[in-house]
Amino acid sequence: MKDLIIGSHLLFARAGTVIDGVTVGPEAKPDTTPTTNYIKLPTVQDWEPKTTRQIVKRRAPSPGKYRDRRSITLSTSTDHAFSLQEWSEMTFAELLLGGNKPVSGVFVPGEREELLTGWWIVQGYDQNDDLIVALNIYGEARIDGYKFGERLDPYALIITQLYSSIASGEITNLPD
Amino acid sequence: MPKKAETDTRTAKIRTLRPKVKAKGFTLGARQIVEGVPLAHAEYLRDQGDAEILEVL
Repeated sequence: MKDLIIGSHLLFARAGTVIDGVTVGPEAKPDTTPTTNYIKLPTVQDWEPKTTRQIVKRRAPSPGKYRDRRSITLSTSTDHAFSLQEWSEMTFAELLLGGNKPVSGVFVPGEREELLTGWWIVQGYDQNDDLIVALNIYGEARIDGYKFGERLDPYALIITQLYSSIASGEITNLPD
Repeated sequence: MPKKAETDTRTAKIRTLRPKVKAKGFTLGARQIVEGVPLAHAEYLRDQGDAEILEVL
């Protein structure tokens, strides 16, 4: 079995960051070099992508009962749920506690008005360390909650993909 | 000693004409305006039909 994604990486470039005069945004994705363009989120334990579709069915009698003729997709939405093992300043202060980006560690809990948005790079590797999938997606992230206690459970970070004409994905090392 | 060719340090302001154009360390969507693109790269993008040059600085 070769298509088991056993290790995922998640990297992030914040929207609004100005790099060499260009502002990161839905239509401007920074390259991975220099490596300072992206921050790497602490260890990803697992990754669950999910696409939901709102579909209406067109039906017609055939005869005696209605049967499906066609499905029309009204909208789609793709979420990526990650389980992360360690907290970072960004995931703790901004996502869990709803603050803006801390300055020297100082922030105001709950003052953030918009979700944390930017470019996310998702890489999935199999057990032989072969790259199976690489995604470049623009999206907003949230952490809905976490219970601290005497345990080592990961926390869930959910990225909702937003539209960008330059989002991309590539599958490698899989049969057609 | 052959004289070393002078490097053109001029830059250009460009507008991209199609998505996934690469300039200044970014991948850009269509209709994005970017300043400070090295002139040689801006001319390359123009010749490829990827961007138009708005201004040379």
